[in-house]
Amino acid sequence: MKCDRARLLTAGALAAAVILLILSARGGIRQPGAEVLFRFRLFRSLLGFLVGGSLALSGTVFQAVFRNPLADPYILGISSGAAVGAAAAFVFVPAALLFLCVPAGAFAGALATLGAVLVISGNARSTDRLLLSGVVTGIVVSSLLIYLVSVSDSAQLAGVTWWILGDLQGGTPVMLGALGGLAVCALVSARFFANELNALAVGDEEAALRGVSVRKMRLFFVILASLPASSCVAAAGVIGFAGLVMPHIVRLLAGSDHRRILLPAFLAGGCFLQLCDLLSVLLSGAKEMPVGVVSSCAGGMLFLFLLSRRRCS
Amino acid sequence: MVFFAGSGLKKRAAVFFFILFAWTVSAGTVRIVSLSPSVTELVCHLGGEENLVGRSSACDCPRSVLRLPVAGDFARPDIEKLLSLRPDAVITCDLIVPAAANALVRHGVKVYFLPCRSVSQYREACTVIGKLIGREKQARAEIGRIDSFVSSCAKWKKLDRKVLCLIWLKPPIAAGENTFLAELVTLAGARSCELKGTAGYFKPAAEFLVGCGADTLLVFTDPALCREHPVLRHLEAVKRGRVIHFSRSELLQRPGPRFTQGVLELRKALENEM
Amino acid sequence: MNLAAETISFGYGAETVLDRVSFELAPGGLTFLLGANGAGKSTLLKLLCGLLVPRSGNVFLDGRDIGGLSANARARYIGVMLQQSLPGLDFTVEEFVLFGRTAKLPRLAPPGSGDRLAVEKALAAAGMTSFSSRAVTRLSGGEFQRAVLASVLALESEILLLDEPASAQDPAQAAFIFAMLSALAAERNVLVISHDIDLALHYASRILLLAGGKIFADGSPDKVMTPENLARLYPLSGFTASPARTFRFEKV
Repeated sequence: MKCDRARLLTAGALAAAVILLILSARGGIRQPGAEVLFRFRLFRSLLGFLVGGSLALSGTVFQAVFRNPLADPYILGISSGAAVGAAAAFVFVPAALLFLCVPAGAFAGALATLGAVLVISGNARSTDRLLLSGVVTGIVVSSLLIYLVSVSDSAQLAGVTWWILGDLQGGTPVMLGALGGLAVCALVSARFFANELNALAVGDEEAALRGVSVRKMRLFFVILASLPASSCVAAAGVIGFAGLVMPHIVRLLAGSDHRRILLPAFLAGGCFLQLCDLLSVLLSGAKEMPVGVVSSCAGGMLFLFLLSRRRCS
Repeated sequence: MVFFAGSGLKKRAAVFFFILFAWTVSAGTVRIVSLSPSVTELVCHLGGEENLVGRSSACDCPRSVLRLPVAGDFARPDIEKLLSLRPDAVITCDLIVPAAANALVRHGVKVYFLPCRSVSQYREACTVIGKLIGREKQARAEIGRIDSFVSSCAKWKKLDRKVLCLIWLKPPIAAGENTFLAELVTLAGARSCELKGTAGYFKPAAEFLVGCGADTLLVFTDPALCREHPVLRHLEAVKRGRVIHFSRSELLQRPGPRFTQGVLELRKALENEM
Repeated sequence: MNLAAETISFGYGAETVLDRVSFELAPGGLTFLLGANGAGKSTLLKLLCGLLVPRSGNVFLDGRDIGGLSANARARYIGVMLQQSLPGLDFTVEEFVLFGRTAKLPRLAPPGSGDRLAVEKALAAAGMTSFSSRAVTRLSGGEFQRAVLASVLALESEILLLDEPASAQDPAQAAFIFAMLSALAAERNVLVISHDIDLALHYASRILLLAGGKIFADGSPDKVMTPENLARLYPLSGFTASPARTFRFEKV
């Protein structure tokens, strides 16, 4: 039964998350260097879990709202907006303030882009209009990023580049608390309105016929999915594929009923990114391997597997 | 012709030969655009400032070169501006964008690539530039000065310090083996921490930062950033305040004539820190 | 439960599609709505379920103006089947049918036994039981249409408004579906939009003819389906309607 599989997946993902947390923190594969590494890795693994989980949750919601299996958390251009915010911080802010201003700038950039998309789309008047607004806004914002890159010096360019590649090392208790709180709110809210999400995933007219206030709920879900995604990008840079692939994996195992799959999607996304981070540590020698490289590579291969499976069936 | 008819013979001959000499000198002066700050310094140091007709935006020493027109960034020169300066040669390091270098060559400009990543490459650069601007004697003198400096450094007492150089802090970028900076730290009498497998400048993994055994950090930006970095803040070097802030980064990061001054100042800072 | 339209008018832009249409649906027999392409059949259906708001006139559900009811309340009592395209996500047929019951599903608790039973009965009624675990994206056009019908039936609503419920079905499946709908219509309001005159003649207890923005005929098939009415319903110069022999699948 799909219901049992969803429960199994939830339990399995939760157990895996805890095991990965312990492995990462203790350096079960690598010998821990010092007490500093234990604390550092613990925070890093927790951040990976929260970021991966939030992105997977966001991707699941966006795929339902847009009725498109290729939708991901960045479909409305918030990653480009966050990159512009971060790049602006690197270029214009004194070095002493970078640790605070880069995530703040990235978050502000993401929210500004979301705001622009909602205004252009008339507050999510229709799915097509929302999607087009997101694509166009993303393109315009990306041009700003290119401009900032062109006027940056070597140090600033290195900062922007490494930020875009994704980095889970910046976890602080405050950041983890904020991300965790946002993720829990998003998860609970999405679960509460999962019936409406299911209806929207079938079609706008069909959802209206099933008693859903389509425009309001679409706007609600867009904001609900964008806020955690924006905070993830601000905290950890642009980490790809976690939000695109994990919803597919969960649907493959536990079905498409959002009342059942939201929590497993969150947990599975969290485990995925924890695992990618562990792999990036293994693959790093002295030089750091960005986690975004591993997540894109692993996620891409998983996606190919899903596509080939779909073709065969 | 009127001038020759009106004056004494000796005076006329002197003027004639002066004009001939000036024409000869101007015909033989090589027009150089330097896209590398270290090369600009070296050319001026060897007495060839008059050969320079343009510079990159990063070239700022000696101050007299600031009057020269800017021909773009050291990696991305402005081709049109550069060509309008009618250079005979462009000297650059190896960071120039290949397309720009090819464009210059297609326009008949000779491009010299002088990577300066070690003291021995600096010596080679002296030889090449000295020959180009006709200052071989000065170049040999400079090489002699460097050789004697290196010999005197070898006689210094070794300092019991393992230094990790971080050229930036956000993100942290470390100087690996085979970098100019690592060589200068060794010249200054300190040890570089274990850098095997870390050629060039790289972003260090957290495990490397903790495990490299550095007891002193050498940074070029605000050292307060070390206390904000999630890993650096826990290093013994940071906790004990063994962070040398070298504000004049060009003395150590720019492989020019002033690197010897940089080594001396680094030595002094290390000794003070001990 | 009755559904009544009272002098409703509607149009798109300056064009008037429906002009003061009035009729009342009551249980006890299948009602067919026939009309040419673009006559306003689907528009009328959307007005009846509250998806569109009339320019003038009202729609009443058991005496209450549906404009004053919440979307959820309307959805609980009126099940609507529209022309629908395949969803983009891989729902199973069972999930898809369950979603049709959204207005009655509990918000946080899992679906109860009553919900599961409604889904099973709907799947059986639409002949889709054997497809329950297949992804909807892997269904043929006819199978998907039956899945959509099942999702509407799963709601167990008092009123069913169905736009071409069997247009993609083969004759045997169409007969199966309309036999089921006829049985349902004994206790519920069932309105079917169709282009199939033959099906209407065989299964309808009441036929409404829509042309020129008005319902110009309303009654039993024998009374309404005359050559003159058909000519007015489907005006096409050089053609005339006449009875024809046909095969029909009957339940034994």
